[in-house]
Amino acid sequence: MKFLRAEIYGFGKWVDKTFDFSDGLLTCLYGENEAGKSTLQNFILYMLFGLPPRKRNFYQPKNSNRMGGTLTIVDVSIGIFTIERTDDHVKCLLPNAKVEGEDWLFEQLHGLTREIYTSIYAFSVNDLIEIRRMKQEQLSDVLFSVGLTGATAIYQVEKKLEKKLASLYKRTGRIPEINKQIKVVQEKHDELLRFKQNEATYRDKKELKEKLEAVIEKRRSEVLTAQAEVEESKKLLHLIPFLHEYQSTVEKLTMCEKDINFPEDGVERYQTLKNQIIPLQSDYNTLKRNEEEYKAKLNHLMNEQYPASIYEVAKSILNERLTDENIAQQINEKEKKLEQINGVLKEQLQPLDMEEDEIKEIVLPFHIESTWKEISETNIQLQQDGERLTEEYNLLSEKVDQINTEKQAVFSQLLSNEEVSEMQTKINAYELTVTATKNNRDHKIKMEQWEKKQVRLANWTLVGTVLFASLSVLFALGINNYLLFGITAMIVTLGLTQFTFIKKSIGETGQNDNSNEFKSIISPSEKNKLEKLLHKNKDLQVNVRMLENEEKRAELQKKDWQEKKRMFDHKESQWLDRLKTEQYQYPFLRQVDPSHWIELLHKLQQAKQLIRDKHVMQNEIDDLQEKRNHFQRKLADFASDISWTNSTITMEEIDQIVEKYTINNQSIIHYNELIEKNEVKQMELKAKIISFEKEIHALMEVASVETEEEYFSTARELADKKALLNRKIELEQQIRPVLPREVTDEMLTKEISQHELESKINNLKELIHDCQQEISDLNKQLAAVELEIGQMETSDGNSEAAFLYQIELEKLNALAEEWVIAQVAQTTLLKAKAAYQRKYLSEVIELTSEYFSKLTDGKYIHVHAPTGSKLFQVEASNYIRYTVDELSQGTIDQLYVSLRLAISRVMSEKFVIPLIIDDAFVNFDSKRTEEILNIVQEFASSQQILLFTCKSDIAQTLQAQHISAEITV
Amino acid sequence: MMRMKNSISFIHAADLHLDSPFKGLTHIPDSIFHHVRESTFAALDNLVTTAINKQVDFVLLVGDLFDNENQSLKAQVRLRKAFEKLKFHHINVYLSFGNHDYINGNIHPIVYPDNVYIFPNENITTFNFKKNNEPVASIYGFSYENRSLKKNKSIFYKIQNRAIPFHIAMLHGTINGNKDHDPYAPFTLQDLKEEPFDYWALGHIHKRQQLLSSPPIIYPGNIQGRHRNESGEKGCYYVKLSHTEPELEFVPLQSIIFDDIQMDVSTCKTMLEIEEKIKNIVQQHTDERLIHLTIRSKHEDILRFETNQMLTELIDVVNESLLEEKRWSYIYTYKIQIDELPQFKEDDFFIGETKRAMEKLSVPETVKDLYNHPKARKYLEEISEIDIKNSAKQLLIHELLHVEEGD
Repeated sequence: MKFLRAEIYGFGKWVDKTFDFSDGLLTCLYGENEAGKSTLQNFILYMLFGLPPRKRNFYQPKNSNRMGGTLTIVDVSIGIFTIERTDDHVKCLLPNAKVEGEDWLFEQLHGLTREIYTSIYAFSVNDLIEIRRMKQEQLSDVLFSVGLTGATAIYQVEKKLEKKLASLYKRTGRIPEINKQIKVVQEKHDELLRFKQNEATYRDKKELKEKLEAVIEKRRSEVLTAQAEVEESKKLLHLIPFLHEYQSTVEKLTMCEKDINFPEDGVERYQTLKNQIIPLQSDYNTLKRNEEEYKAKLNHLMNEQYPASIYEVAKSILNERLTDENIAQQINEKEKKLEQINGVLKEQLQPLDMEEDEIKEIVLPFHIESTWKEISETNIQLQQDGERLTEEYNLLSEKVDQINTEKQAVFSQLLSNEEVSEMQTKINAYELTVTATKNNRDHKIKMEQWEKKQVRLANWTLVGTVLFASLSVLFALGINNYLLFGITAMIVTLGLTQFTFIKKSIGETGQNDNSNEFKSIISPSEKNKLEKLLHKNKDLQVNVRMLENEEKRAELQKKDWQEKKRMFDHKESQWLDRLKTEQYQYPFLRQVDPSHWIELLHKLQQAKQLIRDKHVMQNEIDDLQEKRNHFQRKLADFASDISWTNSTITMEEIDQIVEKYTINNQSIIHYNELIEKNEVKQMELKAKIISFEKEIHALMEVASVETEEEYFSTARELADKKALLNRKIELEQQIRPVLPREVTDEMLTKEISQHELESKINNLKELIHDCQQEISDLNKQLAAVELEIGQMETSDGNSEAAFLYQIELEKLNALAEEWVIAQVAQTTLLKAKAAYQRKYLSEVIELTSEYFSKLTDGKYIHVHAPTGSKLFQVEASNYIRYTVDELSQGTIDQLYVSLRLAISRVMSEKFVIPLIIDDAFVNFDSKRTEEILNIVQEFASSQQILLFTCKSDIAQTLQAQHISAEITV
Repeated sequence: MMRMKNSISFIHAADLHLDSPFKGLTHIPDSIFHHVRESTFAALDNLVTTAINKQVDFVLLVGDLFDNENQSLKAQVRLRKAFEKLKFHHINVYLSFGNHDYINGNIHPIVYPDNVYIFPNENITTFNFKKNNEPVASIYGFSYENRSLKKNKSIFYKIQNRAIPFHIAMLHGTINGNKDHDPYAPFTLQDLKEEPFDYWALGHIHKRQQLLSSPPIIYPGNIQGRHRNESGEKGCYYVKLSHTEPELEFVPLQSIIFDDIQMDVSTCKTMLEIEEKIKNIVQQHTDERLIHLTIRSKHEDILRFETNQMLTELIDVVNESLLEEKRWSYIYTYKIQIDELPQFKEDDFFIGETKRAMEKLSVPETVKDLYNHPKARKYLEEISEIDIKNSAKQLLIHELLHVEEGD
């Protein structure tokens, strides 16, 4: 390939400029700095490879708006063709008038790029410095760079790959991505494995679950079986009494296998008969009982009953009762009357101041009244006379009166001597006999009373006897009963005897009285009274003497008066005599004023009458009392007769006795009647009973028994047997439904122990409990397992882990792929380099040595490529080796140029393309320049060279075209 | 939809691969992580819902319901729940286990409800589906007992009782000639034509395809894509068989679509333009998508962006806004494809040398440093030498040629 011509429409400095390179293969273009050499070079490159817009803009001509140009090239295979580029349009005008584009061009350039071209086929002085630092790799790089993309590119690619690989993976590293990722993947894998291992236990857990479930099921069924068995046993247990009963029933039945003769419905029939008999028997018994009762009562009544005689006596007593009561009433009345009389008498006696006896003894003849009347009347006369005298007396002397009055007063009080002596005597006597008198007086009174009574009794007895005797005689005469005569005679005799006896006893008593009599006139009070009187009297006597003295004085005065008085006194004396006579006869009159004597007499007469009445009454009472006593004795006799508990017996009691007797008698009669009736009824009942008993006997005969006991025993036997049979059936009915059919018969005959059964139940219960416990435990385990299974089933962990692992794995593989690609690229690159080097380096170095030797004029004979870390070495003619560092700049430049030329030469063996050298020899001395130019010229024999230079000597040597942008403009 | 007396309707699905992690996702934003993770289950739920809504007679699940290699209890539990739901709606399930959920590899003893009929072993078993107490369909199938089954099972499918109106065969296996899947239970189309089955319910191949229309022989594909190669809609077939033409309807079930989007940015001159273009293209969608983006350009310039990490950043920015949308999208990876790489001749200097070196290069030898790493190697997947070399070559050439400008 050879550039023929470059026609520039507009490119940088160049506008409408044409360069012709057709003359020879070496074209030297001379120009000063800024002459446009580089622009021309760039134009050529632009033509060949185009330019990106940005760089294109850089070359936009300032004086023209037409950018672009043409480059005409001759190629062995194609011929002459022209590349025309304007802006980014490219046209390749082919000799056959075809127009091709970029692709065709690229192909013609063998894929040569601008970069490769500049690195191999164009070099400038600027490149020279690089060789100083060049080592083996760098040489290779340069080699590659000169031959291909340029050293740096490969180097950089290599470095880049290296870096990338290093960042991706180191076998022992930790930081690189793949190493890291391996770790990550490993972790994720481990995690996944853990999940998987965990999941792998799922089967185990499932199996465990099934196993547990199976065991639980087994245990449950065991429990169920055991429970059923327990139920069965419980039933059996419950049945045991029934079974036992059943068995004993069967046993009993076998024991009473013999036939029992018994009438049909024997018991009922028997019972019916019995039921008929029982009321009869009961009635019969009742009758019997009643009979006995009646008899007992009768006996009792009989025993209780008094004899009839007693009853008669009682009756008579009762009849007499009224009489007795009358008598009692009479007595009562009479006693009342007597009491009245006594009261009246006492009233009468009180003013008289006299005792009854005193009055009794007073005898009052019929004339006494007239006597006493006369006295009384005389007294009044006398009194009147006396009063006159007195008046006279008064008239005579007040004093005498007074004295007389006093004297009279004293005298009236003064006792007579007789009286005093009498009183004295009385007192003395009293004192001597006071005690004896007292007793004897009482006795005397009693005796007097008894005497009077005896007299009355004797009289009454006599009268009664006479009466009785006369009545008896009359009665005896009437009925001619001689016995009564006798009795009467005897009674009369008795009466007379009695009378006599009484009279005699009275007489004796009376004698007794006399011998025991004591004189007693006064009572103790009287005695005191008397003593007082005596004492008083003494005082009075003193007074009397004094008065008598005074009287004597007055006596003289009174002698006149006395005369009269004597007359009067005489009269009075007479009267007094009479009075005294009376008073003597009736001492009690002494104390009574004669004026009251008549009154007194009357009272005495009344009193005497009362006393008489009293006696009569007393006697009546006594008679009546006697009658009562008689009746009382009769009662007493009666009481003793009936042996009464008390000594006395009341009328009421007798009445009761009588009444009771009557009632009893009635009862006795009644009971006797009852007994009779009862006996009749008994007979009737007995007959009925016997007929029923016959029937019963007939029944017994059928049952071939003698007694009722046996009969019923037989009946019982029969009933028992029946009951046993029924019970057996009943038990079977109870037992059979409970027990399973197949074991029932066995069970019915089998001996079953309750204890064994219970212990069996307990054992079963224990078993159940154990099983249930186990089930509970197992259920817990099962629940735990199920929970775990559930957790596992719902767990997302494994899935997530798998995904995460996968992602990391993908990442790892992606990284690995990246690494692999880089690694392959790197390895390829290295291998390519090695091959490339192997292939071209020796050739290059050989040529380099040749060129270098020429350039150094044989000073250096050989160039050694850098090895390892060593730099380029050059071998001098003396075989001494120098590293590139040790060389001078000029020598280095020579070495570099040699190297580049060598590379170009080697490379051009593949593809011949013009070489552009831009002032690469600027540092060469003339000698060297000459040498290099020789080489260049030699080089240009086979390859077009465009040599740009700013050095005139070179330009001259090579007859350079002078180019100048300014010039062209 | 009425269940006609002389017709049956069912859902045919296969290769559920429940809870199986997505591949090729080196990063999932937190916001969609859960959705991604749940996607297989969501698809299963969609399947159940579809079955219920369409009141199908039964559901056929032809193998690979889950992965034994990646045992997931969750998968089986969720499966059980799904079955329980179907049971509630009186829908039977006939399922066979495939090479991924082979019987002997399942460690989780999950008991499915009784509406689920499982083919118990590698022998072909028949279940009769009864309607109104009358058998209306015989369902044939087998389950993998072990991971691998090399025998052709299809030839053992024989119709049992011809009185039964419909005969459906379930087969988890590889159609002859498919190289993307393990050649288990291989069969040829001709094999399936031998017996007059009314429907061949196939499984194993994840790409939906109808091998034959009469009788229908169908790979329903999987119900949820899990990586870039399972892109597009995924789902099941709703099938209605009667004495007339079978009715077939593909029902998408996927929860997330794996989408492969290619775009040409040759005309884009700036990053902003590229961004706009990506957004415009990517935003045209109705589903949640995981996008594998291929950025094509005629110019190598684009590589410069990549080298500068600018493209990555750009994608991140785009993703941010995509994830914000109601139906999110996420570009999980992107690839740059330069349509017109510079051509080199064989002997084009170093490049040529590089190519030659590359060709001679043994990748395993080169990468053994990493791939033999005791810790790393077990996690590393097998690599495609060609892909790697191409990538490396592209890298190298680009780097070598553009290094200067990159500086």
